[in-house]
Amino acid sequence: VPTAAQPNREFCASCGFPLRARRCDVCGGDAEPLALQEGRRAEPSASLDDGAGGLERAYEAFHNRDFGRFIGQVVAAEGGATARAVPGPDGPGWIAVVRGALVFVALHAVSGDLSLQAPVVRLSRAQRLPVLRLALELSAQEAPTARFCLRDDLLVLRFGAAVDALTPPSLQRLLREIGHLAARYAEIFAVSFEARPAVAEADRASAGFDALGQVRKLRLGSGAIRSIPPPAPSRSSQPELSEPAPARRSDAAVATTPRSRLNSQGGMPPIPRRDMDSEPPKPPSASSAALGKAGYGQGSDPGEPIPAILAPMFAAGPEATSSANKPRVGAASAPGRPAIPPLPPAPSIPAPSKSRPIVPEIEIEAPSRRPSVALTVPTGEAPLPAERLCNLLRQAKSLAALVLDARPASMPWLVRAAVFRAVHEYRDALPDSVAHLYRCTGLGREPGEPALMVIERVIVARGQVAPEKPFSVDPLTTATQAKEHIGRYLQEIERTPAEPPLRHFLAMGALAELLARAKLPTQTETRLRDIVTHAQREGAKTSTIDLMMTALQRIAGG
Amino acid sequence: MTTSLPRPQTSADLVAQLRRSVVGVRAMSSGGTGFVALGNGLVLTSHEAVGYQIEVFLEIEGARRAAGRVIWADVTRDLALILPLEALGLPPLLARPDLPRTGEPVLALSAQPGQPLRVASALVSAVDRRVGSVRCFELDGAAPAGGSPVVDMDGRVLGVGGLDLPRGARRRAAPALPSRFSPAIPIAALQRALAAFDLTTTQFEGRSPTYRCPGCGEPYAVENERCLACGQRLPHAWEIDAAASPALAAAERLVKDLLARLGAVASSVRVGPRSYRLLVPAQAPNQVTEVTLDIDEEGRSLRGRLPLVRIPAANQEPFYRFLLTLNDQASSRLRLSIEDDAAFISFAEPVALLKETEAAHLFEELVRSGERLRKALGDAFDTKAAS
Repeated sequence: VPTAAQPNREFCASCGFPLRARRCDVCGGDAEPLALQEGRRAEPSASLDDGAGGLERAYEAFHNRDFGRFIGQVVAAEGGATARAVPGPDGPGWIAVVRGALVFVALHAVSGDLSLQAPVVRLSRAQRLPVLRLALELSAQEAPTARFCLRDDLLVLRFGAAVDALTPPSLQRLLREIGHLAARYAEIFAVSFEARPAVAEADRASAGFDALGQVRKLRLGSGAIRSIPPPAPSRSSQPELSEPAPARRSDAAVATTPRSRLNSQGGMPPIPRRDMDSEPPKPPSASSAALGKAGYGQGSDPGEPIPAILAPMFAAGPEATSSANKPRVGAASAPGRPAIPPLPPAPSIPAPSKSRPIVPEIEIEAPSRRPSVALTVPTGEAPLPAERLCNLLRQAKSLAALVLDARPASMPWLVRAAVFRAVHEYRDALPDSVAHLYRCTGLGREPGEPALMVIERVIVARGQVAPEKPFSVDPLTTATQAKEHIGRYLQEIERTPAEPPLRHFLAMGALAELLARAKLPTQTETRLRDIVTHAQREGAKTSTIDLMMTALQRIAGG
Repeated sequence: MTTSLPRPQTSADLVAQLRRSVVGVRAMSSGGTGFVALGNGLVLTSHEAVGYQIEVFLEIEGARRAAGRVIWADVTRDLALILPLEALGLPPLLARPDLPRTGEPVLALSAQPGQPLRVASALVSAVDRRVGSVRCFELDGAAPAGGSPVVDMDGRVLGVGGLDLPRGARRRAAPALPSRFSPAIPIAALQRALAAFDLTTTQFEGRSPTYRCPGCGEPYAVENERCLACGQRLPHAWEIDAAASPALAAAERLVKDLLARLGAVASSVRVGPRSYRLLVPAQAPNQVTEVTLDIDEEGRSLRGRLPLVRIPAANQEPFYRFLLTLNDQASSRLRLSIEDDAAFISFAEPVALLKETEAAHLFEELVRSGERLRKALGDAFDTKAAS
């Protein structure tokens, strides 16, 4: 066995040559050990040369945490002319032919999960067993996307991951892999086992997500196959009690269809009742805004189109709420001030005084309607404020994917809505987190960071951030300023995709911002708060959105 | 320490006489053969058989299991000594003090865990052969299981075969073609080392092996792939392929961290250039579940795999349908598959998407779900557990 080097010999620490004197004969160095630093772990560098060409825009979107656009860009880069954006079942979706196979990409707007699916073949009757067996054998491969699923007679390759874990090259690689495998396997199954094509060649260009068939949910004990990482006992994964999750598209359709039918039949028009002392109530519909402007503007000074409801803090006089005989909403109009367009009534809020109108009739969903998310949540302890804040931010994050895909210009408004909703709801309970959000997203006077990064940071910190200095919200100092701002908000809401969760979120943000930045007459403020509370409780129902939009339109229209 | 054996009539008689002293050795991810070499019951085996495990199991005649503790390892010569933690009552094999002779017929006895005893006959094809720094003799047959005793026709031990010589040869990037000649270390060369252990077993309490680099003799830490004193690749380390990518290195590091988190040393459970095998205690008493982790060639994906059940003999279509429908459960990253006659549960994830903690969760979930599914499938389809 060799032994360790003899310790009595000295060697030059620089060149390694044996030392015969103090100095090295060959290089002049000595035996003094070199000052070497400890090593550090390094991550492998992102392989930009690994076929990631054409992903520059995807990289840009990825670095901005603009997941919707990032996915769209990668799909477009891989699918070329065949790539198209198609609404997925739970959020944005894309369909493209990648490496010869039709690949469906869907982003879940709420959970942020991305799924890649590729229909492979349909079982033939005679040879179904060999096909099933081979599909299971092929599932044993190391390829992440080689996971066969069966939907009645349709075999589908499927891969899922959290979108924020993906990078443009990794998504590109996965797309290529699933496309390549699907095309290859389809050929093998067809040639060897007479399997039928999953999607006819002629239908490829028009295929939608329904071509993927119906997933059959299994219940095999508790969590026999369940999500990874294993569910933490935290309640944060539960939907927020007061903040229903955005409805799925299909849910929204279910909710709106009966309503429009009922409305057309005149069965349950959303006309609030009126109190004897109150102003005639107006239906909370978009058209009512115009009515309100014409009808309730009577007596107002056309030259001063500033509704008192928006009067900045210095404009609200004590008379604003003093008289019960004055118009219910906006009664703060002093002589010489414009009449205030009434807000749509806030439903289900008990009237604090006789001067308030009776709670207007709230539009109810059709008889088949599901209970709201709030009702489905197991009762028990209410989520902590930090958890609710995180849920709010998660919702903003998932909506961001939708906004970025469809209309990136609306992104600042979404961020704004998220931050002011946080200010409105959690400023007292979580002052540091809210201050952090407000400052770092650039809504204050300091330059901001990429908003989604800030949001992500607060989520990761579970709503608990380091102590921050108190912040003050930049106020809306004039009614004109407030009106203009709300007007811009309304324009943005109208331009965004007609997704109820998104419109609901933005409208609530607009109202929250108004409540945070403008000094309002007490009654008006109370009513706005009631509307916000109602909207929070009811979620993204059409009636709720209409209610908020009407309020905003009246405010903006003055 | 030795007992005289009556001369057997045939080689079958000889094997019948010797087999009691030959045991299987099972560690977490490795295994081999051992034999009782000393009167105090110490079992001599190969270092490869025990890896870096201290606590191992001995399988006696394929049935009985006994716990053992590794008390000595000679990494250079690929040898280890195991102290059985209970008295096995097995007779030691008699050692022949002289070197084998060229052309002498011999038998090699292999008792791999879970397999029947295997006997191979060979001739001594060369003596005094050097493999690196180790003096060996050579058999004209394929290598038996690591640590197998090579006995003469009188039943006396001539040497230990099936060794990884030169050390690390089994983990080269391009392994050498199997040779029809295999080296064995003469027992005569080990007499001095063994004599130092011919003591009462109580004297070995608290004793554990020191692993020394075959290159320089300095002790090394198992976690290292190379000796920090001389830089030589250690026997457990796999030679880095010239085509290896940084992604592969990162994947290996991920697995190393994952295993450390699970309480295992990667070097101990590595069974291939990119494969790791762990034995995880199962819910059933005295049962273990084998989980393998594989990195793909490019280091892009990591697969964990656990055997579930054997394919049922009837009703295969509903069984396959059920597995494929299970694969479609949206929230899961585990998948069901089939290889040969068994169903497996596995995950295959891009390494880039995995963090160490997430990989650990995934691993735990694989084991947990595997246990549950094995039971559920057994109940529903009357399947038997696959090992």
